[in-house]
Amino acid sequence: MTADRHQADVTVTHDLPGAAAGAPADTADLMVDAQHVDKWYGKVHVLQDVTLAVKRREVVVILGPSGSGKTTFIRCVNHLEKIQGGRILVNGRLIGYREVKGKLVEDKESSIAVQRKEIGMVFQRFNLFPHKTALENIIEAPTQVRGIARDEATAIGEALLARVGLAQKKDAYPAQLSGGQQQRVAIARALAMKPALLLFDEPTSALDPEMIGEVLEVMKELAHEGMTMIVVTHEMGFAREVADRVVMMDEGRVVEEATPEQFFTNPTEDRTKAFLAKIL
Amino acid sequence: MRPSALVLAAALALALSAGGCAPAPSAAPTTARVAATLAAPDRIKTAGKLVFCTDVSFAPEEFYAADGTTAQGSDIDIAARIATYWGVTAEVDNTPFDVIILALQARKCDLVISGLNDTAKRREMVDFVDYLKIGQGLLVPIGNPKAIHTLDDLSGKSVAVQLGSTNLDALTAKSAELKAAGRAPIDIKGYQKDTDAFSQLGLGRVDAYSTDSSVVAYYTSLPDNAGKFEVGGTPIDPQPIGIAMRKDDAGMKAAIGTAIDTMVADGSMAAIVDRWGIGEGVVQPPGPGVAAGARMGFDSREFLDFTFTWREVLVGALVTTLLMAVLAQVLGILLGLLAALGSRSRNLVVKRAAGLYVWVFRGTPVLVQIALLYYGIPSLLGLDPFPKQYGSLPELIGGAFLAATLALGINEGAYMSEIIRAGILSVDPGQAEAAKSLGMTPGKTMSRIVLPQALRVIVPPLGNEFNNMLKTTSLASVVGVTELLLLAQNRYGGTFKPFEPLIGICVYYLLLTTLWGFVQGRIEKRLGTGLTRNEPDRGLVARLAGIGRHAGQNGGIR
Repeated sequence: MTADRHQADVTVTHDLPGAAAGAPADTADLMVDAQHVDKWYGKVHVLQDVTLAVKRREVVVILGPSGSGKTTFIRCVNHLEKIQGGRILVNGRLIGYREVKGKLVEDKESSIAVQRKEIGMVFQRFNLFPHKTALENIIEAPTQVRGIARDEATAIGEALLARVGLAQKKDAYPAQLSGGQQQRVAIARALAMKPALLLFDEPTSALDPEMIGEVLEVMKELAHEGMTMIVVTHEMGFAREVADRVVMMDEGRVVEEATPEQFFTNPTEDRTKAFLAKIL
Repeated sequence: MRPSALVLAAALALALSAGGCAPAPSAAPTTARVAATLAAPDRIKTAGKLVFCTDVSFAPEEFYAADGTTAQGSDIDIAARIATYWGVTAEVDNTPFDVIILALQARKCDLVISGLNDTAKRREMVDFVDYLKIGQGLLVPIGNPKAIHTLDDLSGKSVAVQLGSTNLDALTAKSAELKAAGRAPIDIKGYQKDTDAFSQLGLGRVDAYSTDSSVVAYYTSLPDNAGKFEVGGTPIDPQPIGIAMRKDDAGMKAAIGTAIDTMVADGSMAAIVDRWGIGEGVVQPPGPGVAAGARMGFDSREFLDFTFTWREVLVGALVTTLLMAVLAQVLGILLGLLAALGSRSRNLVVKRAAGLYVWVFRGTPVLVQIALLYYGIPSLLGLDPFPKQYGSLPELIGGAFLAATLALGINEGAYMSEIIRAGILSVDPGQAEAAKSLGMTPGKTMSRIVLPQALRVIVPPLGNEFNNMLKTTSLASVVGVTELLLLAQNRYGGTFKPFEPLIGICVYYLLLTTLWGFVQGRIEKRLGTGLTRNEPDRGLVARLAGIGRHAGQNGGIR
């Protein structure tokens, strides 16, 4: 979008790191390109100079102790959180901001909404709409945002429910579903928008142990089908088996990036070793 | 304005007596249209009607007949007579006495004919043509137990009087005089309606009731009051009673002067004075029997007749009450929604405006807001957006109805704003995040995801608000909207039995609020869909009595 389009609604600005550089040369290949991201909650510096790139069709798992900033980071990727430094590009375009005279200015919510159509998100607490049935949850955005006819959306929704193994639950309200079933509906809901990128924020942390498997199973299938995913999780098995790359965060910084094999068998950083020693 | 009692003093200002000459045959003038015999001011001739403001609660000068709709009394007859001379029809605009001059200035009517005393202070605002001279009189229980014969005798006694009346002024002055002389002041109790002041004496709450001597004469002459009351003393300080008109109303004063002169000359004034008993002796012989201040008792026939005799005016009042409540509530919800959304806006101007609205309208009395709109706006604008009637629309939904409905709605919006805001805040922020992450715009997020869930929290207090609104409509009576309360007041203005019609309208208020209880229960049940695994029905009794948890605080899993 052009820089002068929304000059009236200046709300937040921050300086760009260094000169206002254009996108890197290999942009076309990158789904997410986070550069030197800084974020504060008041005086707490929750993200410190975080730089992370995710390629198309790549599955990145972010690990780290509580409070390390991993959830905050992926919430910045679809601009549920503001950032105070650096920039994040999704699919080659700035998210949440536009550039005006070398400064980043926060976009209008309605403009951000357009970009969010491409970015699915699955939450720890599911966040299904309780006043709508499973099927209605899924077709809400396709019909309201994409303008797809209700019949067509219903067909897509039913297919997605079948895919997550819940075809017979389409008329159930969220309160009538188990946690695992709710999370599978939530994944189907995100998929209904045909996103280019899926963000998972600890998708199994609120589940009873016996339900974790059914959700991970669906996620594995998505990964095998080539979906680009960023997954914040504590499921080491999932990270080892499915991730293309594992990222370790601690105290708002990226500590280490590696393939799963190297990460789990031969980590280089002491903090990674200490973290793995505690949880494995 | 309304003095009272003891004597009748209704001496005719314009020499009714002098005109002992030509007695007019017809006792009471009629409103029938006949050929004009006197020239009417052009404006009246064009309109074809003469609208006069009067507070129809002041027997015998103006009060409602038993049917509750027909205004009658000496002033009504006088207005009708003038209209007959002019070949136009006379129309009553029932207006509370304490704002009656304001109503005239706001052009709600052409004249005030309402037992209005012609005083120097009022002459600064309006012009007068005098037509009677009436003193102040005092009405006391039979036997005059407190020996009240003069105003001085009121020292240390209680007296009921109508607010805004010259009687009140006289009592206030006398009280100050007594106090200065080292005597006990008068315990003055003011009431908005003269009939309410009279009721206080009937109930034995006061020692005396002060009003016009003509009114005192009339009350003692009523069969119902025989043996209960008597006049204390002789008329005090007779004062002229006049017809008031706007100073800038060209030709009106001269035309009214001619009309009154003619009435005196042709004897019709004398006939009217006779008909309503204001020219007759006032002192009734003390009757036997009933003790002073005796209870009036409950007249069950009057209660049943008022409450259950189906008549147009009752249906009209019910419809008015319900329609006003619904419209005001709908307006309140819309304004409340706007203000609630505005208070969350990123735009500072919008945010401040919403805050200011809530602050002002929650912080000032709704009764004041109604009066401001109905009386204040016309005098501010110089034109009246709230006329008696809009074109061919029924008078039921005229200017007073509109002004009261708007004021109630605007006031309600300030309260609804806070209720809706609380509802929005009650929705898990994760819901809005989920909607946003699906690409929904802020508007869609609010209308499709957040508000439907907020309703669960909004509806129970909203039900409360509407229950309240059904009853708050009674405030519209002060601007003359004939809703339930004014219907009752009009009735007892003529019958002097306030208890029965007031209980009667309570029956209707209870009926309306009870029906609403059913409706609210159904709405809450529907809103519960999907939100809970199983919500126990609270049942009608529990709901009406406010027992048990609200559905909204009892939600399913989060």
